[in-house]
Amino acid sequence: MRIGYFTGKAEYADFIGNELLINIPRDKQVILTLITLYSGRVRINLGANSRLLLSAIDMSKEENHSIDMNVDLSKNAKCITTFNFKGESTETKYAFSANTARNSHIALNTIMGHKGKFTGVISTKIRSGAHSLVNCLIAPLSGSTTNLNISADHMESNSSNSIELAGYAKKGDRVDFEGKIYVPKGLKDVETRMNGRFLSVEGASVHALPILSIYSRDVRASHGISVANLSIDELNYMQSRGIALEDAYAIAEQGLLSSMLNKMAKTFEL
Amino acid sequence: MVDGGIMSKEKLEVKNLDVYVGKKQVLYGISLEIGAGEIHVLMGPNGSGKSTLANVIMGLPGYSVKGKLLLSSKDFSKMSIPERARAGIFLAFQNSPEIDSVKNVNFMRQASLSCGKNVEASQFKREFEEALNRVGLNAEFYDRPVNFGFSGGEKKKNELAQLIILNPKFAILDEIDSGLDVDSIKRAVNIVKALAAEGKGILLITHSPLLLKYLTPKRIYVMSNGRIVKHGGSEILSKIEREGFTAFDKRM
Repeated sequence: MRIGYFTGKAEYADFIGNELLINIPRDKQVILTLITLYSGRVRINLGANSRLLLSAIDMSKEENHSIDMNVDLSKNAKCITTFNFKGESTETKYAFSANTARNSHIALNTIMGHKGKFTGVISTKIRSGAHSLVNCLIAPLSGSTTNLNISADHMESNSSNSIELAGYAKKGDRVDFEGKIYVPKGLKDVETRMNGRFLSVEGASVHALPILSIYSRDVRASHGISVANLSIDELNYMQSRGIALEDAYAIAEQGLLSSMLNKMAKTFEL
Repeated sequence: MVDGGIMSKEKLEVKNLDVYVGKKQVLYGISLEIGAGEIHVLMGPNGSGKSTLANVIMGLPGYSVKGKLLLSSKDFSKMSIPERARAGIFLAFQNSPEIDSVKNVNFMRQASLSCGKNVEASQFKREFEEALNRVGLNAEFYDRPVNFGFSGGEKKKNELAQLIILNPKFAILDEIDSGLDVDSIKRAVNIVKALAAEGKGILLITHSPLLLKYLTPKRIYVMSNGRIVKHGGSEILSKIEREGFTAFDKRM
């Protein structure tokens, strides 16, 4: 079963079985839209100086659904991918990996608006002069489970990475996040960060574990992950302005979403 | 006071109010009455119960209450916090919390919609910008997260901007002067006077006589150890300046 459908120039993309192969030749700029319905793989190769803007939405109804996506960038290539998971699968597995080349840019925006169980594994390898931006918004339907692992490996000096997360968990939801940044010994001029904000309510479970393994000295690194409910003081304050409890939660969620969407929008400036 | 050209009979009444935190009584037989367009002042040393009274009127949790709370002769003691706000009661918090996930403008837009002020977004935007400007906050505060990273004085100004936007019938301003410089206090007092002139009843809570150099309230109440131990006119102020609040403790 082929993975789904795409719109855009057919000469750059081809379905082979359950795989979608996307090859962007050197110096080309391509915009593609993809709808995924069935399990499969997406392989993307970007030639030198090429650009790809890929907007994907997952609408699977398979019981067990998996998407495996890999991006290989040549030097000076830029790939901006937005993947919006809106499927109704009982279980979704999503793997994304990117291998950068010198001075290339990878930006991945993932919106997890899933139902059921979602497991995501995102990894990027970052070479000299390359930038990796990973933005994840976890906004699942109620009663879901999300397990997300993100890793950024700095392979060479003069590389940069940003991992940004935002999400909320409602009653009965469970979110487990583990983020890893790795900078080996001897690298210079590395900039790396991982930030996240989760809003959870009573009855939701959120666990976040940021791990920074930094073995070089010439690194500018920051991280901060917060998991918080709206405090009683915040809720009282909002209610004292006439705002009902459910609206108070709603505007807090909207604030979180809006902030992340702004970050995602900035990736299009690459 | 004139409200829309008609003599307003709006009033906020607290009658013989006893307040408990758990089994411990913290307020004793508090009574006061604020009419539309009147400015009343509640003074007293730290810990005398001023903020507790404000919190109880707003309906904040943690207190059990005996006595009457009336808004234009209607009992509001069973109303929830948002219901009280929508009925026209506003509390400017002494320590307003920071809400870093919500922008000031979105917060106030939702608040004004909840309080029945359903104006076009463009008009709301203009009104909120004007309110910020009026209280002395620049346009940057329009879409900053609510109170997040604000200085003490900026939080107080933001409370006043909210008051202007929500246009309640009665406002309790809990230490609106703390954290403000002298110029900002003068500006805040002018706003309070203007709001009273529009017909709002104001209860100013302070333990500093400085604020009262710039306005003349209808009545001053002095609280001590959970009781109103004195009420009257500006003659109270000179006694406080001369002898401090301890002069009133002796009356208990």
